[in-house]
Amino acid sequence: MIPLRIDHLCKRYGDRLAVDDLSLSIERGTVFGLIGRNGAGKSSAIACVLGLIRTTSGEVSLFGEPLQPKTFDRIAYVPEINCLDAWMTPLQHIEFRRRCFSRFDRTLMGELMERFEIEPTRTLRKLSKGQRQAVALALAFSQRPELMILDEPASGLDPVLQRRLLDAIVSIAADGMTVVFSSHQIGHVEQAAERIGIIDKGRLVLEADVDQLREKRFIVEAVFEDGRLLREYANGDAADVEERLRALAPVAVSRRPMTLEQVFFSTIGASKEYGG
Amino acid sequence: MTYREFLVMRKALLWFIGCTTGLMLLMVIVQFSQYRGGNLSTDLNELHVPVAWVVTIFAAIFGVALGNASREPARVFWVLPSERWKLALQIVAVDAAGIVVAYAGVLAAAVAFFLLAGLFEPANLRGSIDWAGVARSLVFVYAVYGWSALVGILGRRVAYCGLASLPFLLLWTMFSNVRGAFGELVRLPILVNPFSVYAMGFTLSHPATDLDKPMAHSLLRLAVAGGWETPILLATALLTCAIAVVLWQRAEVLSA
Repeated sequence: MIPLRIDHLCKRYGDRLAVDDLSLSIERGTVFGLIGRNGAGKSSAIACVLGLIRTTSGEVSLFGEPLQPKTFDRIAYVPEINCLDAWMTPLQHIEFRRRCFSRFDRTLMGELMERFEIEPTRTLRKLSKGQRQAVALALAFSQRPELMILDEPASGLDPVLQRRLLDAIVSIAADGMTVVFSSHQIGHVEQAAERIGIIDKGRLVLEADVDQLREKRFIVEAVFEDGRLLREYANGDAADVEERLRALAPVAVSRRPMTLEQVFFSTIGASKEYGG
Repeated sequence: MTYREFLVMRKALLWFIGCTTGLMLLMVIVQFSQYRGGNLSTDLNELHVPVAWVVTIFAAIFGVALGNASREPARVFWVLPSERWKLALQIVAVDAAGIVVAYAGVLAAAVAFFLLAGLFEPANLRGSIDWAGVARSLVFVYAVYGWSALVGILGRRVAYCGLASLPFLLLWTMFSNVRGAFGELVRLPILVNPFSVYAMGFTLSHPATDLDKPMAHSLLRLAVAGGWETPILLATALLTCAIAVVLWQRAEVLSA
């Protein structure tokens, strides 16, 4: 059963098309990273998937059926903004979740609280931003969901906690859980995701396996005698690009795999704007 | 959801009853320090009325719960494995129970005030608590809660918007007594204003009522028998809460 399938999803806010004909299918046990600029439509797409906003058109199915309240027992969601009640303590949040989710695992929650260094009896208001986010993540993991949707999960976490979060994502995916997470931080996606989707102006402009991208996408550079550097992105057949550049009689031609960041910039066509 | 609402309510009740009791104690102290003879006289039979007015503030504050819960926290609440309307009803149910406790707390504090004041000066407590009046007052407070919930969900883009319903209803009651075309106009839907219905219901049953007042005159037509206002208040409470729940269920999460 495919945990998440999106068919031709559109979401319009007035004149603005936030999500434009998005189709996506995410297999079980996959860590899927959704990358895009601010306002690209990542959060709107996630909100549509979870029924937090109504779709303009298109269909979403979770575990093979349309979203129903009972489906949420199999899904965990951590929003970009921390929406947990700040006047409650982590222990009270745990009790709240335990009563709501049938598979909530207190033992796992205890382990995660230790891993994320969460103080259980202080109200969230007295915790740092990073710790509040860690509480939200630990609660989501402890629901033992089959599908976890994380919207900018690492925002507010310090580098150590970010590392622990990414490790946690990878290890739960190894247990068969499906993770969909959006991020601005391409490095995080590169570290944790097996498959990525790049969303730009509401459209899914690229969907691919991270390993395949590394194998197929190259930067080919030609250096000329006067010191000029000519750089081209090669998608698939880099030999053709090399050939073309050699015809210009450079001093040297080199090829190296693109980083995910370079793939992102080349895909959304913003390399000049970003100095890439 | 019930657990979280219970936590909120427990905290709020402690504050509210604590503040009310503190205020009563302050009044006892003032009463004692200002004592110049005479005696303190009250009719317990009518005590449910001022208590209801005080508790409307509590109800209006709690009425905002639905509206506020449909803002950012909706991202947590609307992904719970339960029907949205059930979640909304859990909030309303806990608030309803909380309002009863708040009412009982203020009523107890008011009685305690007169008993304590009696330690310092002659206090004349007449009659006994009118339980039918208490029930009517509670329905009135629920109607105020319903209005707050409805305004809160309609204006949910503004946090705590439901609180605006309280001054709105009071102003509406005030303008309902204006003579002329404007007064006539605002009196047309006056039955859905719990303050007008409750105040007039109480006033009409009072022997010294000036029945020439425009609003009293309008409502007198409906006052066929005693207790007419309770069903109207109950209908207002149920209707406003029902609309608020339906709107909550259909709402979309607000974008950040």
